[in-house]
Amino acid sequence: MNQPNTIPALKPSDSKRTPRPHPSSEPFIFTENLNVRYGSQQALGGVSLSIKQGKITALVGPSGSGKTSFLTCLNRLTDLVPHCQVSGSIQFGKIDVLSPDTNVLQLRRRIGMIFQKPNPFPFSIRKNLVFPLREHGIKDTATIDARIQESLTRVGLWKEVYDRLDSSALALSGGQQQRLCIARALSLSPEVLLMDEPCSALDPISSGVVEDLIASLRGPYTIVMVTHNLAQARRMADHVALFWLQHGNGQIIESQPTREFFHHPQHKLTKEYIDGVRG
Amino acid sequence: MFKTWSSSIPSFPYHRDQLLRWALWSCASIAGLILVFIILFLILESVPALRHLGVNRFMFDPSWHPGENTFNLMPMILGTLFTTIGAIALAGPIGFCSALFCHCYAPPRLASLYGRFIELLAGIPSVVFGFWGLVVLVPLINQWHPPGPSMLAGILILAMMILPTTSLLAQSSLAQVPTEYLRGAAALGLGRWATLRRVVIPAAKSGLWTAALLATGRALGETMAVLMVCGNVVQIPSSIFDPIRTLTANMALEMAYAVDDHRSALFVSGVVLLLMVLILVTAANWSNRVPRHV
Amino acid sequence: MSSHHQAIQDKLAMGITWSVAMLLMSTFLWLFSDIVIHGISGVSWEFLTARPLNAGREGGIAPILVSTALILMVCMAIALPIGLGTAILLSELTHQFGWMSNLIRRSLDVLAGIPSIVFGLFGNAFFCITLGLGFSIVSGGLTLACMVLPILIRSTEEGFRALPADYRLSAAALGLSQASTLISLLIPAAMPAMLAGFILGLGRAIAETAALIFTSGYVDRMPESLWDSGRALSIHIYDLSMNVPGGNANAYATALVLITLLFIINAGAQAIGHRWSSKRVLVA
Repeated sequence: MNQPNTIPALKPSDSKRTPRPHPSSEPFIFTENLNVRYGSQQALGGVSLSIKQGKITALVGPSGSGKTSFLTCLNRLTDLVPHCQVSGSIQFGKIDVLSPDTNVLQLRRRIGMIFQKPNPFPFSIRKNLVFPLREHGIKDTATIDARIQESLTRVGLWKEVYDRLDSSALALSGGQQQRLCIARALSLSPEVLLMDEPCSALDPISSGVVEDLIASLRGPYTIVMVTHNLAQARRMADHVALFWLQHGNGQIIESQPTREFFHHPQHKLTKEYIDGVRG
Repeated sequence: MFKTWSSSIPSFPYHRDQLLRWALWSCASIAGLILVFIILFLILESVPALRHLGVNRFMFDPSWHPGENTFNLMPMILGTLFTTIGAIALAGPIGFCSALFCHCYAPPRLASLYGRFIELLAGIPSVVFGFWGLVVLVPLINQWHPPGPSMLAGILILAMMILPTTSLLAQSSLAQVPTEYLRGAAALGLGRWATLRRVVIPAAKSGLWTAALLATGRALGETMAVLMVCGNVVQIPSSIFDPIRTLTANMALEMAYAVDDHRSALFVSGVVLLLMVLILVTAANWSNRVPRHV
Repeated sequence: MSSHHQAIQDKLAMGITWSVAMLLMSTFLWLFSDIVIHGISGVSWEFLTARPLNAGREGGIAPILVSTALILMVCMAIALPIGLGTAILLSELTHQFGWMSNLIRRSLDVLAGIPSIVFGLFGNAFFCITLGLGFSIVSGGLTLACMVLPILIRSTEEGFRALPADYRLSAAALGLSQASTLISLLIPAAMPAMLAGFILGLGRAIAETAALIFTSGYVDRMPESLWDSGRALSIHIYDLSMNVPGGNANAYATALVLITLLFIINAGAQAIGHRWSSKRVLVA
C-alpha cells in the first residue's frame, strides 16, 4: 500500500501496459477551489472539477479563459513559470499534487502531457524515446527496445518508421511528430494524459489520424483535453467543462456529461457558446 | 511565458539538481568576482604611490622621470586623449560609410563578401597592425615630415585598428531597424537615400552612438599598436608629427623594471585608464538603453 | 524634395560609400600583401621546428609555438567550464538567482570593455605575485582566461536562449529532472553556439599581447613545464620588431604564421555557422 505522496517509481516490470480496465467512473482527479496567479494577474479563480478515470474530459471555452493554466496545474508544470502562484487543492488518487513534498518527477511520469505544437527533441526517433526511459531508471536494452516497439505500434507509427529509427525525429511530418510525442509519453506508462489542443497545429488529414488515436486511448488512460473545436469535443469527449472569463478570471461555468452539455445546457452562456453566438 | 525555471515552488528535493545548482553558482561567482578582484588589486597596488606622492604630483610634477622622482602623468593622459580623439574622428565616419555600403549600397554578393572581410579584420592582432605601422607607415611619414614615429602614425594605425569593430557595430545597429519602418517608407514613396536619411539613420541613431562609444573605449585601451608607432617620448606634442607616449605604452614599457613607488605609480595610471574606459562603457550601455524613436 | 534632387543625393551617397569601402579594402589588402610578400620566404618547415638563434634574428619559432599552444590550453581549460557554468546559470536559472544574476551580467559587460593592459597589470599583481606563480605559462593562461570569459559566456548564453522553450517544457512534462534536461538535452542542443564562442575566444586569446608581457614573460626557450616562462607568438613579433635590430625578417614570418592561424580559426567559426547576420535593407 502506498503512503500518500509516495509515488511508485517506474519499474521495468511495469512494461505490461495492456488495458487496465477501470470501468468504474469514480472521480480520479479532484481539483477544489483552484486559483492561479501570474504575478498580480489572476488567471484562474476557484475552479473545482472532478475528472473520471478512463474517460476523456474536454475543456472548452474562449481563448484566455484559463483552460491551459488549469491543465498545467495538474502536472505542476506551473512550477516552471516565473511568478506563477497556485493555491487550492488537487487530489490525484491519493496524492496531494500541490504539496511541496510531492515527487514532481514521478508525478509527471504518471501524468503525461501532449502539447499543441509537436515538440520532439532534436535527436533521432530512437533517442527521443530512449532518453526519458533511461532517466526513469530503465537501463536494460531489451526492455527499452520492447517498449519502443510497443509504444510506436500503439500510435500506429511503427510500420512507418521501424526502418529509420536512427534518423532525425525532426524529419517526420507534423502528424507523425505529434504521434511520436504521444508514443514518448505512453512509453513511460502514464495513467493520465493531458492534451493541449493536440490537433490544432496539424493539417486536416493528420489531425483526423491523431484524433482517432486519442479516441482509441480511452479506457486504459484518463485523458484531459483542451480544445477549441466544439465538434471535436462532441465527437470524442465523455465529459465537457466550459471555461469562461468572469470577473477578470477564468472559471468553470458548466461541467456536464457530453450529451447533457450539448443537449440540455444549464447556463445561458453555454447555450450561446454552443450556438456560436458568444465566445 | 514558459521561458525559464522558476523558484515559485520550493526547489525540487533532488540531490542531483542541488549539486548542479551549487556547481553553476560557484562558476558564476568566480566569473562575477573577476571584476571585483581587478578593481581591488589595481587600487591596492596604487595605494602606496598615492600615499607617498599624493594626487597633485601626478598632475603638477615637472615631468615623468621616475628615476628623478618626478611623476607627472599629464603628458601621457593627453597623448592617450589626442590619439583616441584623432582615431575616432577618422574611424567614425569611415566606419559609418562602410556600414552603409555593406548594408544598403553594395550588391548582395559583394556585401556578404565585404562583411566577411571586415569580420576577419576585426580579429587581426594589434601587434600586427603595430608591426605594419612600424615598418611601412612610419618610414613613409618620415619621408614626408621627419622623424616618423609620431602622433600622426599613432592616430592612423589606431583608426585602422578600430575601423572593423566600428563598422561591424554600426552595421548591426542599422540591421536592427525594424523592416516595418522600411515598408512604411516604401509605402510613402520615399527613395533609397530619403529612406536612409529620414527613417533608417534616425531609427539607428542610439545604436550608432553606442558603436562610437565602444570604439572609443577600444581605442583608449589599445596598447601594442600605439606603443610601436608613436615614438614614446614623454612630452606634450606641439604638432601631429611629434612623437608622444600614451598611458598604455608607458605601462607596457616600464612595468618590466619598475619597483616601489614607480611600480605603484604605473598602477595609478592603470586606475586612471580604467576610470576613463568605465565611464565610456557605462555611457555606451546607457545610450543603448535609451528607447529608439524616429 | 523633388525626385530629381533625391536621385542626385542618392547617387552622391552611393559614390561616397563605394569609394570609402574600396579605400578601406585596398588599405587592408596592402597590409596583408605586405606581410605575405615579406613573410612567405621566411616560413618553412625548418622555421616552424627550429629554436630561435641570435635573439630571434635567425632560427625558428618552435618554442614560441609550443608556449603559445600551452598558454591557450591553460586559458581554455579554466575559462570553458567556468564560462559554461555561468552561461547556464544566467540563461536557465536566472529566476532563481534574480538580482545576483543581474549583477553578474553587469559585471561581465564591464569586464568585456576593460583594456588588455589592465588585465596584464592585474595578472601580474594577482597571479604572478600574490599567488606566487611568477612569470609563467600558467599566469599568462589564467590572465587570458579572465579576458575571454565574457566572450565565451555571452555566446554560450545566447545559444541557450535561442533554444525553443518547448524543449524545457516537454522535458519537464516527461518528468525529467533539471540536471538531466541540461545534460542530455540542452547542452547538446546548444553545442554549436558554445563552439562558436570557444572559437571567438580562441581568436581573441591568440591575438593578445599586452596582457601577456608581464604575466607569461619573454623567455624564448622551450618551456619545460607550465610553471616556466614562455613567449607567445604576438610577443615574439613585438620583441623582434622593437628590441632586436635586424629582426624584421623573422618578425614578418612570425606575423604571417599568426595571421594564418587566425584565418584558420575564422574559417572554423564560419564553418560552424557563426553567420554573417546583417540583412541587406531592401529599399527601392
